[in-house]
Amino acid sequence: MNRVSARNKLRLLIAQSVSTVETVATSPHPISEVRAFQMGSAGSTGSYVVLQVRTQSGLIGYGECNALSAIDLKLTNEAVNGRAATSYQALDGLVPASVRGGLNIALLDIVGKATKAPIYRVLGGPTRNKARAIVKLSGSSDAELQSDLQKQLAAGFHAFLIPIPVPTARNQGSDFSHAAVARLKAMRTAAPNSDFAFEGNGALTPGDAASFAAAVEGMHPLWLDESCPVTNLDAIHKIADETVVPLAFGREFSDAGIFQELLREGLIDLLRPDILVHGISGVRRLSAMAETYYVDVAPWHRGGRIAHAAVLHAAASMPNFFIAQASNAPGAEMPRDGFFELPKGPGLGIDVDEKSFEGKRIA
Amino acid sequence: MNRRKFLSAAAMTAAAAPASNLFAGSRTPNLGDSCGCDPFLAQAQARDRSYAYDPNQKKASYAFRDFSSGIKITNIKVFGVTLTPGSDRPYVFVKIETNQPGLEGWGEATLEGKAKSTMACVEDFRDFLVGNDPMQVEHLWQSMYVHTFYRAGPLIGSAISGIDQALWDIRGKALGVPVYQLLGGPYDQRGIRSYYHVQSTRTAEDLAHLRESALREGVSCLKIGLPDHDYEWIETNAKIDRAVKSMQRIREGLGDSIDIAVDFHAKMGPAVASIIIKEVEPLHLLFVEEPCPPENAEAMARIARHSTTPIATGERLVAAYGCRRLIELGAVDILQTDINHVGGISALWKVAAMANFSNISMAPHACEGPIGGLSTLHVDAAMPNFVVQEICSFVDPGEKEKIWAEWFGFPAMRMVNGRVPLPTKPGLGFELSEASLQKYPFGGTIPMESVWHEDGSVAAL
Repeated sequence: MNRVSARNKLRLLIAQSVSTVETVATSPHPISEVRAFQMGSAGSTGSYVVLQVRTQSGLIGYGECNALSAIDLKLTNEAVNGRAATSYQALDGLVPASVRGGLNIALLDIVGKATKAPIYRVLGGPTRNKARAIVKLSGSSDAELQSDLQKQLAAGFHAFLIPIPVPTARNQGSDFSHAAVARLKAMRTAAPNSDFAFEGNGALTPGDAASFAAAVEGMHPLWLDESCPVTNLDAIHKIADETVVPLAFGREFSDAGIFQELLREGLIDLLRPDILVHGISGVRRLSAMAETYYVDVAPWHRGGRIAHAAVLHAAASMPNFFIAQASNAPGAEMPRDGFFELPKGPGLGIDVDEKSFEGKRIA
Repeated sequence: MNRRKFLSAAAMTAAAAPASNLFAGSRTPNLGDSCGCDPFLAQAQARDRSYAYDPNQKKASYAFRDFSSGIKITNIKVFGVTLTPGSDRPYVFVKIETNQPGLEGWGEATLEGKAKSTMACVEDFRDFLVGNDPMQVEHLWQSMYVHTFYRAGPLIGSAISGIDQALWDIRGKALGVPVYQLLGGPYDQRGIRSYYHVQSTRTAEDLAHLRESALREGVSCLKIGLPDHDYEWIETNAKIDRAVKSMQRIREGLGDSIDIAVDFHAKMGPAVASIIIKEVEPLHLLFVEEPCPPENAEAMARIARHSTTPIATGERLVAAYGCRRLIELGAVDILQTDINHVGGISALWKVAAMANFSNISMAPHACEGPIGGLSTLHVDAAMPNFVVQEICSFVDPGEKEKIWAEWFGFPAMRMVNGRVPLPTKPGLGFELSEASLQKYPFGGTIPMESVWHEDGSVAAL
């Protein structure tokens, strides 16, 4: 390197460091602390973590994630302390994967509160004025399901996820198919103006899933959810090739690239990403990709009220949202005439009661 | 089943079965047995007393009256701006005005060689836009794109781009933040790494001067073109050698510390491009741009498979739909969609998001006016997969830059220490007066240049 260019390089470095210091100092709403609260005992069914992000400007944003260790929380604080809360996208790569979805929701909550706009308005919505609702029916026998159906119909739902009859062994036969058809027929009779999707919980083999789907496809269920584990693309090809029932997957994918594989192979008709893993932004990025395949998105989660609000904001900020699944937890939001109302307040637009976190702080 | 039959079948189904509650509530007028192609349909509907027609219901924001931001679009203006007589790319600027005093947004819809058509296309969206809520940009974008029926090519894509940028400008101003913050950026506080074009490098002195001035300005990347204009889809030894040698000469002259991009401008087919790109592998170019025309993603992928030289393309593609196949193939390294054609900020963000699933990088094209340039900086700042931004200018600024600075009061799209500083004001971050544009009245459409082979047949531009 000659002397002239060496001098120029030095000048450049000085100028860069100066401008970095200046802009960081004026960055909007610097993060002062991220707190986390364990809801339900860690690792148990129905447990989740509430994130609380505070800024030096006095704003508080809330998010949820599935699980968070004290170490990951510490790493998160080290990574984001002093950084602009508005950089909800740019901070994504700096923090542990376990916190990303929840942090994204909390930071968008702050952006919304700072701009006094609901998150969907920050993101260019609303693209719809309400969000279609679906609820999973509880029970395993037909009688139990019918009883819950009546309860949920009265609560305002018009769409229901019904469990696939429990397989008694691998590779089901005629009884299983007939039981599936009978279950859907009975549901249709009891609620003729409603629609139904099947919940598979990843319990079937690809062959069983294909046979099951073929048996019910003439009755036009909305879709078949998580029919079998996505262990490889060929397994899903079997179901997608042999039937025309729309297939949905996604709650287990932490790597969003799997959605791309399924889309490009034509193996998925409804994306069901976990919003606590991908955040509102991650779900929107997936929706941008799915849009080019003419495929809808129905975010999934097993969190609480914050997760539910995040789903509604995602729904109202993307064009290809289909349906929001209600939480089965007691006290969860109920729809009106088949649709959830959208929040209207700034940020997530919900009130969070800090007392509900008492004694639950992760440290 | 043809469309007419399908629509009437759908209408009959709707009439026969009670509508499912899940899907009830549509306000779309029932076309009945009509395919929608009857020129007298509106009159027929007006005569039908069961069909209470309310023109307000046609507004995209009608269904959102309970969610209104209080802001309404009141007017849209289109400006053709010709800097010099004969310019084939007079700028097409779009200004959207609202019912809030002083709240207005600017965007750019420049489409080279098609100025008047683009201006007319923006005007075609006037009735749709006026009265709507400008904050619902994703919803308005969808309506402009989908309800155009034929979807978007470059003309409609450019018109939507200009409108979309203006709507983002309004939203940023209304919420009081720069657009890149609405998108969750910036990744790099220092600004947007960019590259200039290379003007003249005929002599060794030219190259030495270029290297010195680039290093002085902190410029880390430059782009050159090819030495010939009329490449055929099979080429001679002489022209292939000349192309390879011109790139070798530039690398030798600029040294290793400046990244070099080479624009092939889709002048070749995949056969010749593959040969040249393989031969220049040792030069470690930053990328080769548009080595073949844009319509065939598989042809592009074929070139990419032959060489480690990174391949960039995408400036002529519209919407994320237009980029799907390239991304799916995962064969290109860099996408270069242009904010003035792809569908504005909304669409450029979607392309970047989608490309990132395949770890494809972004180096957005920008060869039109300054509004598109300033808009693209905001999206760049929020891309995890951003590499470098094009600036259609040279290390030493010229007349164009003087005019831009006169319009905005700052040197738009000029690097400081190798990066374009991020705008700090709300919205797109600039003020522009209509009066300042009046010095450069629209001089009409000027077609792009025509290029011919030696035998008179058509060559790519």
